[in-house]
Amino acid sequence: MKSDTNDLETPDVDIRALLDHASSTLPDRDVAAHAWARAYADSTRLRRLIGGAAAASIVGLGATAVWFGVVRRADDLQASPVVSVSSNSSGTPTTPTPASGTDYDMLPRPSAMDTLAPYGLRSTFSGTVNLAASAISFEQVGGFQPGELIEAAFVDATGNEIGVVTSHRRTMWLDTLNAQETSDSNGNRAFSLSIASISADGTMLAIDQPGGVLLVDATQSGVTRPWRMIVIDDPHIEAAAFVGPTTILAGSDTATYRIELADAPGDTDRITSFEPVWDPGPVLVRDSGDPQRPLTIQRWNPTSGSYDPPSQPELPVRSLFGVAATAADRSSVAVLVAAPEQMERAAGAYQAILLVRADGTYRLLGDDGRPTANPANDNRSKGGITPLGFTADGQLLIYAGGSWDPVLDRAQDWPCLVAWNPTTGQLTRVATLQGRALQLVVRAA
Amino acid sequence: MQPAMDQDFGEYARLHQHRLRRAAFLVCGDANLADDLVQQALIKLARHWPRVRSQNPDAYVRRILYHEAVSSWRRNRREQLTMIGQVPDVSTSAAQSRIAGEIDMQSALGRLSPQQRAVIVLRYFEDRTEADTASILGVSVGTVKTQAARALSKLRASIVATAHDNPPSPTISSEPR
Repeated sequence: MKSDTNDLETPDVDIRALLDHASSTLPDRDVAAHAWARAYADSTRLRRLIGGAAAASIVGLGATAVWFGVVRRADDLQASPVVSVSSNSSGTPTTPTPASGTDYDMLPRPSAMDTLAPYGLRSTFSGTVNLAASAISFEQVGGFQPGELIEAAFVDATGNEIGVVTSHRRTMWLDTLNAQETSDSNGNRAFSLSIASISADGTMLAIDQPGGVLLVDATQSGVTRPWRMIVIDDPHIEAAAFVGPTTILAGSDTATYRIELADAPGDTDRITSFEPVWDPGPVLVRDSGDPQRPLTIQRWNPTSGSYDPPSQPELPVRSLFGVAATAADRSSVAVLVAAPEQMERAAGAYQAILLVRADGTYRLLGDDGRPTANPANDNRSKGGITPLGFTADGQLLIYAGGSWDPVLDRAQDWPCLVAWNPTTGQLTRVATLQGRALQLVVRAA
Repeated sequence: MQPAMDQDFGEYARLHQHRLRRAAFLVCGDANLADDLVQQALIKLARHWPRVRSQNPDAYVRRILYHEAVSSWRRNRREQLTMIGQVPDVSTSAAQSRIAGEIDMQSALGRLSPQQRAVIVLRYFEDRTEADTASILGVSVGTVKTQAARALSKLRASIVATAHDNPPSPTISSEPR
């Protein structure tokens, strides 16, 4: 008789006996009392920390914001952001009412997300979605189907298990991929997916790997390993993003690599390198660390094969929290920022999404998931709202998480995908997410 | 002032800690690290004990433990791999774990990925169902099946390789109980 998990035949050695014996030499130790004492000591420290300044709470939350989005490190958190808000936008903000002289929209706190109206348009995601639970085995279904495109990709928080959501409305674990964890040269872990990991036409997915980029090719239908490794002599590749139909930028902390994919099988990919940029992608938004200096925006120029010189639109913020999403036509850029001081004062928001149009005008979406929320889990961590990309009708798709404990729960409270119309300011709920936390990226429209 | 240890928590922890430490040892391969992992898991359980005590503390503490065990291995894997290369097969714990056919289970487990080890330990040391294993590890049942099959295949290869030097050749039983 065969077991339910493997094809090994009738045994003469019992794996249970082997495991039992292998652990039988462990001597007895009582760790219960010490655990209780430590728990009490830790909770005391925690209460003291909560009693501190609100700003300290925000910094503390930053460390937990790593998973459901694209904020890679907490070390970009700067001191309080800047100056006045004088938006030229005219949309109707949602709750709460903005302070006089300011104009911005507000994303409701996590527990109030169900007050948003449904998105109402066709989307890859709709209704209630549990990606991890609904994902099927890529190997078992025999790979991609002809014409199937990659619409979204996600990484499991427990490892480097990578999944995709396709145009055929299939959610699949790429269970034969065997992706490796990446890090910078100091050992800081990085995510396996960048915000532009999926090619604009949905046929390819680029995954940064130690020593190269793993390229998943959805046009290879009917095979269970439709991927190949683009080898780069750099063990610390930690970003890979499409900046053109066949151009990928891969980055480490020592160099940025431009990969021109081979035109035909058998041809060689062309790889050139230039100075390192943090999280290379179609657009770079940077702060200088100096509150007196504005954010800069640089767009990739496919014609020149390099970044255009940085522009410095007059923006109300100086401090950046996360990497940028850009519209396919590069007309708008969205990025997570520290909330402008006036917004923070008036609405209690400590983070916001800043959308900058090609002409330098902007609009802000504040986060009402404040760290001092009551109940305490009705908050969002730094990075708890993340711009994912623009929809075909020009709205910004945003992941809006809730509170979560990566160890105890692994699932967030009230996570949603929302669409923000930067023209009208309207917010709609695209989908409600369920299940354990994942890093999610979507294909740019 | 520190509160006295909750009596129920104390009874629960003392009843289960040795089994948890053995499971952690099988997953991480280091007795001291296993103790640290179990202690960390119990600390978190203690903090949430008022909420968890009436629910399912078994599942709760195991989710913490296995998550930490796998994460810990990921953080320390370079050091562990280096150690394996420098000091092959001579550790006291490894030597103590040899049984029929000179099978070194700890060494064989060391060749699995951390998640594969966790799956094997949950399924065949803790006798958890595939559904329970999936729930504790936060993965799908399909992933559990796949990881278990691959892990058993690797274990078989390790044991067959060992058995070549120490006949007769053993095979692995993984029949569900």
